[in-house]
Amino acid sequence: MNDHTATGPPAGLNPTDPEQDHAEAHIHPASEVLVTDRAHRLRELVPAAVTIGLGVLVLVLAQGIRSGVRVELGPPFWPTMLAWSLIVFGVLQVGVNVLRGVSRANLPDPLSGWGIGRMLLTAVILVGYLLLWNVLQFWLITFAACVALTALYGGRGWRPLLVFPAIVTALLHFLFVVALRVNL
Amino acid sequence: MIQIAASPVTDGIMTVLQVDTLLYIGLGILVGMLVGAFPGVTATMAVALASGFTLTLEPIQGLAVLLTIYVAAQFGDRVPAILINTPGTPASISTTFDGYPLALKGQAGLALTTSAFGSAFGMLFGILILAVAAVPLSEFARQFGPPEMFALVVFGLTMMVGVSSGRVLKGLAAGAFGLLLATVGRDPITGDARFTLNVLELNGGVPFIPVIIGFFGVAEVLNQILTRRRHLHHVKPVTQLGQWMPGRKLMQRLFKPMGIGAVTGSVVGLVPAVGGDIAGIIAWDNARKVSKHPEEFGKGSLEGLTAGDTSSTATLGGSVTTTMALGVPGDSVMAVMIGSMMIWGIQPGPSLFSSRPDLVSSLVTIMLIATILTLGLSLLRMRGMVKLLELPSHYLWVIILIFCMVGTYSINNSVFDVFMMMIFGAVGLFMLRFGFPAGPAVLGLILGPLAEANLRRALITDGWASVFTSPIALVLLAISVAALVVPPLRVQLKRRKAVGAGADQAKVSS
Repeated sequence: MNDHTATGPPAGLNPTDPEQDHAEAHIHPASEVLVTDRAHRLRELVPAAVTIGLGVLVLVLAQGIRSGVRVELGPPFWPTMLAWSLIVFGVLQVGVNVLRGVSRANLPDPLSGWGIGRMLLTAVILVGYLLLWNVLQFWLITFAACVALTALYGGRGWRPLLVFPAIVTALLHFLFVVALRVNL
Repeated sequence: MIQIAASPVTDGIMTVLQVDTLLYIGLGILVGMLVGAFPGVTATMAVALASGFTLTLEPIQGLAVLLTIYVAAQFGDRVPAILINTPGTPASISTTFDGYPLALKGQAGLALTTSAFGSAFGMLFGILILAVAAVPLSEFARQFGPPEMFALVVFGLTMMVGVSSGRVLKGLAAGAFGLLLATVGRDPITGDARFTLNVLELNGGVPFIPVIIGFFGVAEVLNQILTRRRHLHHVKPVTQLGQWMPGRKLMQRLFKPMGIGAVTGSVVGLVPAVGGDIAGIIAWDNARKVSKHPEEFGKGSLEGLTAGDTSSTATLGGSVTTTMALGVPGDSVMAVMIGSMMIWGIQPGPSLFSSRPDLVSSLVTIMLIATILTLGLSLLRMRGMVKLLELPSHYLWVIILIFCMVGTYSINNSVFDVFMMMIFGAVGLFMLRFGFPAGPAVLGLILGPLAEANLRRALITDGWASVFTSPIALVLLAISVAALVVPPLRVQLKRRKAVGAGADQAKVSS
């Protein structure tokens, strides 16, 4: 499977517009048009820099691998080879994606301020949920985490905030604690 | 009393026909249909999540759940594609071309049932490929030594990178990142510690199920949370289903596009890492070229709909075949499944079918039962399925996130695994936002030890000459290079042609 982890129509397609020729858009995509404005080029520097930085980091760490056995092509050989590959791929990314531009189809969906706040709060709730795992009863913290997350994502009223978390908690308790006997 | 001679084939079938395994198949069908029907939940995500709590099951039962989810998702994903013009999973992209126009014409019911018949036909064709090709392919691959095995891993990785259209460099970087993750832990030849950062848990390597759940579950949901607008206009599904079952004449007319779809999908499916989405689009285009009514394609053609759907499901048999026989995942779902199989002690690869000869018939039986039952379920006129499409996405986000956490913990009762899952969720989100495909990274993580051990063995024996004097290794490496180089060159040529055509038009108009 092609690794489009996100589903839904590709960039430029409107699912509510029946007049749009979706088939043509897929077979002859507009993705071949390059975006060359400065903001997008600068953004493309980030993945290139991370790729090169990771390669350099691994090169440094690979120097510290100590082997008790003297063998040809020892433990640092393969990581060093991969680290150099990463550096080469990063440099090529600068040449291709930064200097030339990036395909329109490869641009991500735009972020929203509301979305960033919601994601940060999600992280806080999930970390709190994990830290309380061995402190409070599993069903209690699962119910509380479900209520908090549902409220955060816009659920209002007794059904989303009480019934839905209760069902999820009961289902998890039955599946993991009763059926699979996980020590929760 | 009829005596059934014991053989690997009957053994494999009988293992699946146990009551508990059949119940797990039923569970997989329900989960798979639901997963397919919800846009935003991919089959890869569902299989990654399910792998968390199937590890405690017997291998065949666990495989039954995972494979059935995969099969049923191929049917369920057609529902939103037809009713709200949004593919449930990428495999149903081609369904939207004609499915939604048919629904707008009041023929949603007919679109849903013919799509289900096409999907079942494609699935059965794919299963036939699995039954016939799996053992010969694995016997051929058993001749492979270290150089060929290394080339095979490179081949699998580059095929997955090559189909990440327009992202070849980032795909290669993601693959190298996955291979690097696989080096954490003990060296496969000397046993020395590498990159463990004095963390005891990392001595056994980076645990791949938490990584997979992080990449395909948490990262995807976080991306949806980041990008979904506060007051999103919810697409209303088409509710008028109209005529339901197709007549005999119509089915006869659809046999040709189904045949085109089945052949296209089977061929595409045998190429590692190329999946249903691409196969569906290719078959849709092939069917349009030979149709008596090409003008109807894209505007509500049942031929176009069935050709695409048959093709996208026919890939599944080929995908399972290459995964089991070569150990190279046919697609990202199979990459996730390999992770689970390795924990169960099943090592997909050339020697799998000689050590477990019953497994082919077990896999074929699971997929056959799943296909027939899912087809039956798809033909029921279910109004509830339409209602499900109106469910707000926040319910799904909560369920997926909580299941990711608890499912990961349940693998080893380890909080460390859950932290790893969260870290790789964040890494996966970065990759998603900056265009690094997760598939090659997961594949690199899973195949890394195989690639490293075989390359080092080959080099120690005879240097690089051992790789470059093996005809099989050379062919595999040549195809790998072609898979990486040819698509960008074609895009470049197209772009130049388009620029040339634009310049000509400008001259004419001036």
